[in-house]
Amino acid sequence: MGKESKDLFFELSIDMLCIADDQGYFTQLNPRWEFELGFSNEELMAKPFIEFVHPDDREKTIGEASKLYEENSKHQTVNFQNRYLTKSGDYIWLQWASQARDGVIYAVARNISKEKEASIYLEAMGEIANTGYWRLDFRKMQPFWSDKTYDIHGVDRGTQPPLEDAINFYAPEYRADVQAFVEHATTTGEGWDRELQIITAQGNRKWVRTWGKPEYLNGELIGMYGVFQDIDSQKANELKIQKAYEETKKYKAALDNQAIVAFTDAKGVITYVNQKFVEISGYSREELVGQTHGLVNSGFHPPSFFKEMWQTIQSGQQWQGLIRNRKKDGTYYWVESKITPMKNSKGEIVEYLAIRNDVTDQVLLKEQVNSQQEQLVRSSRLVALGEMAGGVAHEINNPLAVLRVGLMALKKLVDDPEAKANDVQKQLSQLDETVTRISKVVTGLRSFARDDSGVEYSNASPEAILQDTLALCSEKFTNHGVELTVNTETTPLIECNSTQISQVLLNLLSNAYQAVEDQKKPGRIDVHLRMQGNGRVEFVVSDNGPGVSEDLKAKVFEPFFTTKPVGSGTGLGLGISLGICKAHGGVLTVEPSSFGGAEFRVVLPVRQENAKKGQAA
Amino acid sequence: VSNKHSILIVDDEKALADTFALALDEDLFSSEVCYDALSALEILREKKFDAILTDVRMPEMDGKEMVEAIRAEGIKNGPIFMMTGFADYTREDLIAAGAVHVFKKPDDIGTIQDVILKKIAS
Repeated sequence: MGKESKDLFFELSIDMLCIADDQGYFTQLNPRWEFELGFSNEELMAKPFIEFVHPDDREKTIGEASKLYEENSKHQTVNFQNRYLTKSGDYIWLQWASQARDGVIYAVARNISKEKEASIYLEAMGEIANTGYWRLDFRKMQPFWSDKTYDIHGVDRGTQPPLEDAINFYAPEYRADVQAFVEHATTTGEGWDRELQIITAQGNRKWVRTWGKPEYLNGELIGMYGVFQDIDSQKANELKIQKAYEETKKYKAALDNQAIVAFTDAKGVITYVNQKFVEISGYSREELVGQTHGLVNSGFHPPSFFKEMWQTIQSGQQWQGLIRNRKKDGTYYWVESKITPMKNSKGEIVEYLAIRNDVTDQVLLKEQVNSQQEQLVRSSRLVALGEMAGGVAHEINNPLAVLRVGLMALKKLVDDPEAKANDVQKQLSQLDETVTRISKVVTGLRSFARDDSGVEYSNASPEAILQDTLALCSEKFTNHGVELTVNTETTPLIECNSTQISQVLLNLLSNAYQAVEDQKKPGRIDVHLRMQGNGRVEFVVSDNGPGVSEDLKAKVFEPFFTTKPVGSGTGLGLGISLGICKAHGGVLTVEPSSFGGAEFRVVLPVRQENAKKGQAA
Repeated sequence: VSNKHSILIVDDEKALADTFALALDEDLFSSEVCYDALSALEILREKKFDAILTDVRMPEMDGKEMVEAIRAEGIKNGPIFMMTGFADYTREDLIAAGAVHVFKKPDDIGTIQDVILKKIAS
């Protein structure tokens, strides 16, 4: 090639060609230099070329240049990269190929800024995506790993990537699979995409996603390339999520198995029901979803009940309660229901979760027990009445005797012309008093013995209840020398079942009587009716009997507990009395009395919160 | 002084005791009343009555105990009549204790009076 044609190539080259002397100055530059850097040849040749090199790359450049001289005799090409200053002040990346001949450097440089930029982004992307790439050229059997690929494998960057023993980076259980998919790729041309575990140079297992493809040139297989993604942390998360999901599934299954579950939207329209709901209600899933719970409303609860429920859950609180629902076939079922509002991230209620348990059997059982309890209360009252019967006979017989004899006396007075009007009057008023006494006993008996099954609460005078009850037994007390003191304060009417309260009082009076009956000292029973001041009234029955010892305090209220000799008491009295007081929202307690015996105290609220209201029979 | 029969009426029920005294024929009886057994014993120690009419159930000392005390002390007196509205003691118990007759409360005053007169006469 002649000099002229060489000069023409020098002019045309789209690479940057140059010659530099051993002083570090350019001596010849082709026009491409000015095109790439913007400096004129004169400007470039005015200073040592090192001054155009990026300060960070100068040391490396000097090192590479000195290599040129060492390799002088061998005419070795030195390849390296550095950055050159442009006229605009930016730097561009140059890829160099240079040789030295007789102290003169011949060099070709190519602007690789675009590639460099792309590789920077690639690297950034690889960093973000935890992804590295690799390539294997079958012709040279030369593997290439990107930096990130080194990192993923825990191998130092820049070292020779493994070739034959690359398979050993895969965890043993995956090796056969890897060999199979690589072979499949090379024979069919199809790529692979797998998630598997490698073992890093440090010996740690790591989840990676490996993607690869065979590379062809003119239909001939020349290599393979691919990417590795470190998915260890996301795999761990995935496994965690999977585990959490499995667990949730188990809980859901357990819940579905145990409870009636439904979701509704914020307006109460059912969006989900589980199998239990379907089973208990008798409606299909399709019939339920899209409806409100009005579908199973039994009409048992008043609208205020549901209003209160909605107010609770709409305020963001959980609501809990017992609901009677109606099945498709018209029969009823009872559920213990818990409704929880579910909020979105803004704190708005988006749906409601209702978890219910079928308590129909318990409710029915409780109703049965309640009716048995009522039966027990009734029958124990009859027992108490029986116990009192002897006393009651006396309560009536004595005044009856007075009446009978008194009438004779009156007849005699009337027949006697000498009798004074005053004596007649006196006798009449005594008879009248006696009739009143009898009628009191009868009133007491009637109020005590009446059947109160289904009787609702009504307003009654505590004093009247007490007097009616005392009428049944005060005669007996005085006849047996028991000193009875009754103190009553004015109280408001109380909402109660007066028959039951009378039963409690008679029970306490009867116990007090039995406590003082057989002792040597004269018996004493004090009865007080007071206002407690906090909307409650109290009846106090105190005696001077042996009292109730500390360890028996709780026991005396247990059913069938009795200290009385066999046959003289059922042992049900105080237990039932306590039950009655509790049902009234009240209490029944025992303490030592101020004069040495026991003091039983009944405290009752004036108003009943949730009592059945109405007229007593 | 007269041929009236003296009778002591014992009953803790004052109204009843007083009414008995009032109801008995005053041409036949002179009555005295007393409201408990212990006072009755004191009276009886001082004075002999032609008849005693006593209630059974009374505080402190009941009618039966009173009759037994009268016997034990050897207090001299007429027949003792008892009346009761209770079944504390059997009729036999009270007769064995010393009562000549037991009335049930409430018994007719005519009947009571007749029985007492008959027993005093016999």
